[in-house]
Amino acid sequence: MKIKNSQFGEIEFDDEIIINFPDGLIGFEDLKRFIIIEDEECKPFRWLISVDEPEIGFAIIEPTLVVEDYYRRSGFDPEVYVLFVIVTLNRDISKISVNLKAPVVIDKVKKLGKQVILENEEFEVSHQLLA
Amino acid sequence: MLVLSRKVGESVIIQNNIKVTILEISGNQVKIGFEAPEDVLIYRQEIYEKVIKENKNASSIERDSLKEFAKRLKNMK
Repeated sequence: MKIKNSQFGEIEFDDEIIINFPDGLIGFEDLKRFIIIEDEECKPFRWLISVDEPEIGFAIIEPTLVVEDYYRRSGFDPEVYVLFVIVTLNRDISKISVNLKAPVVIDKVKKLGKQVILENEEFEVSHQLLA
Repeated sequence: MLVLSRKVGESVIIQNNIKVTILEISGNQVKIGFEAPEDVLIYRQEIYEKVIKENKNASSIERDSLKEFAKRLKNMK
């Protein structure tokens, strides 16, 4: 399949990499299909891009790079799920943050994704990366 | 809005499979229990709205900003 956006031009990918989000993302309930793409110059970050609306995409990062034992603390089994947190970019680099409170949870086998809100009080919606 | 009065320990049933129970009342705080199928999403309103706002702020693909930030992080190591 092929999608096109202003930042990447044309992106061609195997349909198998599509992750279905039956509930969309919070606030984006209509967007049901996403792909994760690597961006060499942006490592360790990646992009979660909507297949249905390719101009919509989120910078994401593995939460363990921010909080080492994130899987244990959030209660997700790393054997079954892969977790990402969404990055909120800002022109002021010191204000760039990740949303540790509401990770994107992907069932590796079923290729199903969902954004959940954790009960953990210690995780913030806007956790600054350069604190 | 439908308004119902309930005592501690009493419940309401929504759509046959969601049960909301009043567990405890102390002062101006109410503890509420929810029993619902796994696919029913239940959130505190203020956190839910905060996440919507954060997602909207994060939803544009600002590739140059991220490149710049990734570069900066690399140099810090």
